[in-house]
Amino acid sequence: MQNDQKDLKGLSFAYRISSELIAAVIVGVLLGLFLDKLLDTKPIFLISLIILGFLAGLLNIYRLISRIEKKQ
Amino acid sequence: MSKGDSPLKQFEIKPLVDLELFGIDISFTNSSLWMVITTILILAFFSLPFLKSNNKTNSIDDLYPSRIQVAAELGFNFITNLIEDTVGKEGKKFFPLVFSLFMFILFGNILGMVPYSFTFTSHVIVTFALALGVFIFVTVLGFVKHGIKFFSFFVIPGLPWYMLPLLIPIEIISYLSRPISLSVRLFANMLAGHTLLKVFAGFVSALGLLGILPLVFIVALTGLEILIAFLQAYVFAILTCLYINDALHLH
Repeated sequence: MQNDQKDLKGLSFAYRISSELIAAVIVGVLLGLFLDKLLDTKPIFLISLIILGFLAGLLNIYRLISRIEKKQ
Repeated sequence: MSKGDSPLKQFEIKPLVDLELFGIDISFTNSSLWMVITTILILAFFSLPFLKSNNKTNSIDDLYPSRIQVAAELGFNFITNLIEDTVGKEGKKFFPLVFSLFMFILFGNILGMVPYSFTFTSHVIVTFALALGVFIFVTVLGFVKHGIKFFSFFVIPGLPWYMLPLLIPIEIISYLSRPISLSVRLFANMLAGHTLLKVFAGFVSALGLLGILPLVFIVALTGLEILIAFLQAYVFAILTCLYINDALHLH
């Protein structure tokens, strides 16, 4: 049972890492498109928020991995 | 594969009873039907073991829990341990939320593996509604617990001030990405798995005698799909716990 749970955790981390990166970029794109439409500043916010979104995704992954290391 | 049998046909929403409220279509669809079936099955799963103990026969059999009772208690213990590991003692009061989310997604995913059934978790609107519910709950919880101090969640402690204009937007995007990553992961896994099954099922009849190869593959894939069905429910539950933990203890 203990071993089973460990395998599950490893697999669940793998799924989370992949989706975390994509989700942050999606949020960046949506937020950028929204702000550009609101302020009429195409494509400044879109570009900057895509980059920030990518960074946020990396930050999420960094946090996830440092959490695993803390546990070990 | 004939024209009518697209691998995506299984995800079609068909209204069973047409309903309309204030101009909004709220038809009872096959998706809603399977959600109702899921809820009824969960209720049955957790109430059947306790129906037996009501009749007062003092046979020795009553001392042993029935198989279904053991299974139900296993589910209880699983989520209790999960909450204790991630949130700690004060997470106990969130047990109903995490447990019902876990069971709803788990039963929905597993029922989706039954032939001719409908997998409602393969629709992004369903999973997004669940994830958005968790997101709003966690945000409100943070504000109730910490008040205006909750905004300090977006500031990493011990950082020089000139980094803040860059890092606060990153933190906000990272926070907003939570419901998206929760919902996209669950829906994409279910959608991809079921589509893959249907595509390979199409190969079986198309290849004739060689069709035995994709058939073997489907058998293996079905096992994997059942594992994924459980795993995705587990991930949804553990992330709900982690978000509650974040809202309770800032950093």
